[in-house]
Amino acid sequence: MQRIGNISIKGKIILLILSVTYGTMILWSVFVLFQHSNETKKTFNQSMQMNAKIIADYVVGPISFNDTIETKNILKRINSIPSIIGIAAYGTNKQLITNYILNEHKPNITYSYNIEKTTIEDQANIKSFVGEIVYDNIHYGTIILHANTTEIQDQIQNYAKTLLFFIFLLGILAYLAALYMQKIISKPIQDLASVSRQISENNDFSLRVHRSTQDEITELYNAFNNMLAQIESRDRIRTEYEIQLTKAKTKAEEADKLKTSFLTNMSHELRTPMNAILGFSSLLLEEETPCGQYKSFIEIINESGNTLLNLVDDILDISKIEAGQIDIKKEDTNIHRLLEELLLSFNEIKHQKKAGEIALFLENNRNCKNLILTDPYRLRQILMNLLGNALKFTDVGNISFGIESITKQKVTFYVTDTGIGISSEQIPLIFERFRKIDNEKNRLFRGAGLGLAITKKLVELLDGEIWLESQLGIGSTFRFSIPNVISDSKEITNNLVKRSFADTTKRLNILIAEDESNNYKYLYQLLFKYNVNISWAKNGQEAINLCNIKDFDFILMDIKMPIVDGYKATKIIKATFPTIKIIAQTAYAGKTELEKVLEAGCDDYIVKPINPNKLISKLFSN
Amino acid sequence: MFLIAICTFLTITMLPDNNNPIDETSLKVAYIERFTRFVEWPQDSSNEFIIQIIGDTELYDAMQAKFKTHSIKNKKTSVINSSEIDENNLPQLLIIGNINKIENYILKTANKPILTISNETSMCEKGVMINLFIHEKRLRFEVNEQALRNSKLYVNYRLMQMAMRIIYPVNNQNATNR
Repeated sequence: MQRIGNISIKGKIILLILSVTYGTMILWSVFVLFQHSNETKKTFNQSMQMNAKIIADYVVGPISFNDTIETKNILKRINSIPSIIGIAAYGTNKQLITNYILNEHKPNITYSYNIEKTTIEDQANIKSFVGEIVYDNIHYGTIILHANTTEIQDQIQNYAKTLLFFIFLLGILAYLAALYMQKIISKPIQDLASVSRQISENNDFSLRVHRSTQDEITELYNAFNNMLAQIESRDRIRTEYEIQLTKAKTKAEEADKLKTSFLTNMSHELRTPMNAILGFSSLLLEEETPCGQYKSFIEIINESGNTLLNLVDDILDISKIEAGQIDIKKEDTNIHRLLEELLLSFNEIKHQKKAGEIALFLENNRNCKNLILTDPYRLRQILMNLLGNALKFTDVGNISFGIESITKQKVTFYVTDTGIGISSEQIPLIFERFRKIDNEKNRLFRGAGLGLAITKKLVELLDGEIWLESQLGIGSTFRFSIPNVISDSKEITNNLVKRSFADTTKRLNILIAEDESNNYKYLYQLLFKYNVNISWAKNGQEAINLCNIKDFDFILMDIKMPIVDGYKATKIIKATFPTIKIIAQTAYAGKTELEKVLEAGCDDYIVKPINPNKLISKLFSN
Repeated sequence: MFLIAICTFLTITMLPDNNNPIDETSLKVAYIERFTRFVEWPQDSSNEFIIQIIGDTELYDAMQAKFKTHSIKNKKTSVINSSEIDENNLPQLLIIGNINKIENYILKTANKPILTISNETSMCEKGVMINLFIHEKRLRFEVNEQALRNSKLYVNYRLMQMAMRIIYPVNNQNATNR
């Protein structure tokens, strides 16, 4: 059985067909041969018996008239009858009347005078038949007829040979038919196996098997194709996931690397200005330090403090952007004025940095439209980042900025410098977080690597796009465009409302609401040299109480205070004393928070750390 | 030689039971008795089979002796010797030994179921149905088939088969010699 199991399907089908065919044919042939043999013998016997009867009937006449010669003449007629080899006529007294034997069989048969003494040689091949001579119920004697059965045996043998030849012929036909028929069953299976092998070798699940007929094999094909489709789909999904996972992994590794780099860099960036601040602060405390160096030390401390402040602002901005907490509030914005303010600001910054070899230009065409609907706060932030970036990476040359083009769809700004430039390989990476064009081993410039990432995000929040053209060693040009949404009004006042405060000739009563004593001391030192009376409230409740007993011109209101916070205190004070000008001083630099303080009733705000110039400007400007 | 011996033996067996020497008359009686076996007469109500012999007393005696106890067609056999044919009691078998008036006898039995037998040469040509004669020392017989047909007698083929000659064959063939 194991050996049959190892035969191919083709061989099994051929073997099955041949087995059934040959088995059936052999059984049928044996049956037919048996039937034919019996039938032939029966026919032979009946024929010989009939011959005996006919001859017996023929000899009635001669025997009646005792005509032996005529009787013998009749017996001689067996010459013309096949198989009969001898015949004898016996009378009623069982005495031989006459007989006739074919010459070639005379040695085999001897008819005695008595019927019972007849001897026959080779009994196996000679058979006796008896015919009674009867007419009109009168018995005249008996005919004994002997026939040779060799001929019918030869006939049966010939028939058997014919059958064998027939079986052989049918066997060949059956084999040929089996060869053809097996293809119908085995070929589709072989095709299926071939496709399976191809799939296994090439791992190609897009292959399919096709069949036009409708049978069980077609159902198998369809099921196989469905399975392949499912595997292909699964593989495709898996490949997509793998690609996504690989990308995510690469990104995560990159992010991890960047974060590690960021932390290292940030630690350095934080510690470097902190080192200057603490170091020079310590020197100022030493008695040996000459008084003439105080100012330069303090300028270094101030510069380092500003550096730290910018760093903190950047970190806070990127955190808010990633948390989705940046709010965009579009309003009519005078872009020319905004650019001019930036020019003034950066000329001041350039001066502070002593970057005298850098020329700063604003290319501002005042003839073109000046009002667009956008977020001025974020637009300013974008331009400041780009200008700050240009100032950082430019040692000699010039920095120019302005509006490059205004179309119906968009306004395009640019900031170009003659700085160190960026290689083409680094251009696609420059807007990523924590990317810096320098590396740890070749550090040239400070910064957290967040400025351009923040800038790009802000541009996108304004529905714009930013791009860069740069050549290493020659300079860079950053361009960004924002939608040109037409403003209805022609002119507005600045978003930060300029307020007219008290006359500087009048001594002002100022209340400082601040829970931190150092902050109070700083403000006190900042203001006492002016013509002011200063009071201190350590929380919102004290501020309210002091307002009830004393008149104040200004309140510098901290927001986060114990007992009663700045919001609530402002509301209460403004409800009672609406003429008191309240300037919020807060470390919450977010736009939402600043709007919140204005909603609470504050007339203006200033963000910590408080810039002295700004504060004085707000208090003593017109 | 062997066949002659057999024939001799057979002839002996054909002799009457009393073992009389073989003679022509006895053979004729035996032949006549065989003739009656192969001839069928029309049905009648008679219980008697009448054999009439004309002119041959020797044959009459032999016939008397043979048919005293032997019936024909299951009928009692009566052998008579008379030269006249009784119209009211016609015989079934008429043996004509006297040929002088044979034409008269033929006329009287013409178209009647009477088997006529003679034992003289050329009697069949004159109208006798069966004629016995010696040929090459053997008793043989000839048959007038037309006369048999006219008499309404049925003659078995075996009798025709054994006849040496058939005179006036019904199928208009020439007389056959065996």
